[in-house]
Amino acid sequence: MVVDDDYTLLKLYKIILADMGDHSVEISMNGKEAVDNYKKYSEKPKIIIIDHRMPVMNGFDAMNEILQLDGGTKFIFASADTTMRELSISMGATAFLSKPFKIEELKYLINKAIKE
Amino acid sequence: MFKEVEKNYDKEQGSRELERKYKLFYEYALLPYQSLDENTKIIDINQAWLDFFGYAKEEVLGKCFGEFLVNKSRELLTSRFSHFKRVGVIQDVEYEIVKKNGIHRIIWLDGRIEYDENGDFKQAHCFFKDITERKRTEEKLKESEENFRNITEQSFMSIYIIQDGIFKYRNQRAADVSGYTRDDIKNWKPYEYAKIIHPEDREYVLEQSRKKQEGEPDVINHYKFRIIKKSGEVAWIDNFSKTINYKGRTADLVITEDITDKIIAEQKLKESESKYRYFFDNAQVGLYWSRISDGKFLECNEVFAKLFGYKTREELLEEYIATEHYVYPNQRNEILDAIRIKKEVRGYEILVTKRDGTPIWLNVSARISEKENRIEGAAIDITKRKKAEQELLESEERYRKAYDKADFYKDLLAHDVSNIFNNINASVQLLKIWKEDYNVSEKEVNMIGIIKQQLERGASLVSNVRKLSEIEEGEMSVYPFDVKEVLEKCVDEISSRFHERGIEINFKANQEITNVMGGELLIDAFENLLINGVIHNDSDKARLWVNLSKIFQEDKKFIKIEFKDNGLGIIDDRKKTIFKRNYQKDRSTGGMGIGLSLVKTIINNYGGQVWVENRARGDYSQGSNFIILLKEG
Repeated sequence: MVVDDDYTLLKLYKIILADMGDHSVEISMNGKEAVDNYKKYSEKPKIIIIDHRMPVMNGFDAMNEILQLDGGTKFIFASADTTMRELSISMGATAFLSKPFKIEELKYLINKAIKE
Repeated sequence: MFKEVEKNYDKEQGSRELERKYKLFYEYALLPYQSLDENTKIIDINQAWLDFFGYAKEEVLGKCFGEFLVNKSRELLTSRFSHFKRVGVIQDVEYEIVKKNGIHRIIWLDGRIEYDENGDFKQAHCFFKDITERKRTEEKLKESEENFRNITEQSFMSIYIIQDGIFKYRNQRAADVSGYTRDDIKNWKPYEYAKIIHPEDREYVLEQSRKKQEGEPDVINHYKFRIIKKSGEVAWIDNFSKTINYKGRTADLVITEDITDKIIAEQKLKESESKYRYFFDNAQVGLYWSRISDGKFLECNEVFAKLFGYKTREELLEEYIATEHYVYPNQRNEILDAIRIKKEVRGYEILVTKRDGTPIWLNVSARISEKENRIEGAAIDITKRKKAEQELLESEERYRKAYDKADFYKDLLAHDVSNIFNNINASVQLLKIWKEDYNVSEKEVNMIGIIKQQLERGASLVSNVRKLSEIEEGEMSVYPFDVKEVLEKCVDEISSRFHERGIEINFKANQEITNVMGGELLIDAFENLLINGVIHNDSDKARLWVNLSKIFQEDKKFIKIEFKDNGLGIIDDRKKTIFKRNYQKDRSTGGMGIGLSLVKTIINNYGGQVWVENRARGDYSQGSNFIILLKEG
């Protein structure tokens, strides 16, 4: 699942992930929607790529709620603000993706998260 | 009285005739008469005696005179009568007698002894007069005089009586004040006391004293004058004097008080009031007294009047009622309450109106004088300051709004624009990935390269703006920082990032160097310099050289980091200003300026220096050499 309030980026995520292989990608436009959708999924997403700054509910809060649901999902926290790196990792993210990102880096982090 | 009898005796011839005339004289004398034998027994008395004592003649004759005296006088009679018989005469001898009715009286007795032809005692002839009233008067007078002395001697006032230019009486205080002893004063010749009167007052004081001693009218009873003490000191004397009758003649009764201390105190008070008045009138702040009850101004200086738009203080005192001019009427009650509780207030700010209604802010300090039902205060015009404060508040508000706006734009730049860049960047990357699958021309590949390069610059600009903003908003901590390791990472990062562009970075470091005094932001500074070396470079292959060395400057160890490139170079005029924050110029250099501003800000905040030189001496076109000096950590 990818969570971002930027619809263009969501589309790009879908294209990149489709380019990576046969991945099923769900999207959410903010943290609250992500939490709600997550609860509905019978099969929980393996990875959630989530932005921090979003309306309604930010990435931190959404990640925190979802992690508490204990669905075994891994988070790649994406932000242009690199000061979020350590904080996001300490809160439970598997990796931090610095925007603007390189597609190779994104692919690498996803593959790494899947293997872990 | 005996002289008269003897006179007659000389004139009369013959003892019988004389005796007969004596007899008649005694019988009809107005004064009591008695004749005593040698044992003080009464031989004869006259009617006046009987009337005086209240006895009948037969009750008296043959009795000792002592029987009619009180015990003390009786004892005196015995001794005195022997003396009387021996000298033949006594005069004004005092006895206390007891009348038949028991009343005591004091008498003065005169007597003469009559001798026979042989010169022996024959009888004593005595007259006496009742001096009881006189005696009582004398005692009262004595008592009165004693009281007078007691009072005057204990008086703090100097009291003296002058008659014929001589001090007939003076109390101890009179002597104390002048410094002369009583003996000194006692020996003064008439009017010698003039010498202690101050020369300037002497004529007046002596004239007044003389007039009073002589009982003349038209005198001044109360006046002040100066004396010169025996010590030479001048003393002020307050004089009350008048003519009295002293021992039957006119004299000058003088009561004086040493008022030197009072006069000095008055002079000091006068000087103090004069000084106070001077300060009051010439103070640069407004000073006033106002009545507590209604706020009416009782007194003020000209400065205070001018505060309220009056030309003179008289106009203000006549017209201005403070209670009617408070813009916030409760301020007067507040200030009054504060003064009543604390007795004074300082720096109380009130808004009132001037004579013409113009508002004026005053800073008031005041204290209460309840005894005199007034407030004493000082006021200064703080209207300009209050306006400035208001303008400052408004300015702060404008600044805050501008800051919020700037913050909003910064946020917009840092987040939203960054996201846009991110999306374009991701799209370009996808295009490059797909170029093998689709038949993309060389031109299109070049265009993709330009787009990617501009995206790098844009992302760098956004990042720099955000960093600069963060540095300006907070404080940077400085600590030993492993510069070699960081530089290696930066070199790797830039090499990787610009791999496709064609880049070669040579990194040379002295093995001894590890730490500088700095922090994480050095990474941004280093990357900016490296990126500038790549971006502002027309060479097919961007070459960069990073050298790390140790130098001494003013006996201190510094780490020198050089970033050399084969780029466009910087002309000399531009070298001096290239680090300065000038947005117009920064824009013309396509973002390099803001990056270098960030570099300079970071390095300066870490206590270091940064400047630029030509890579090749004297030829800027060969590229630049950016040099950073940081303290060794």
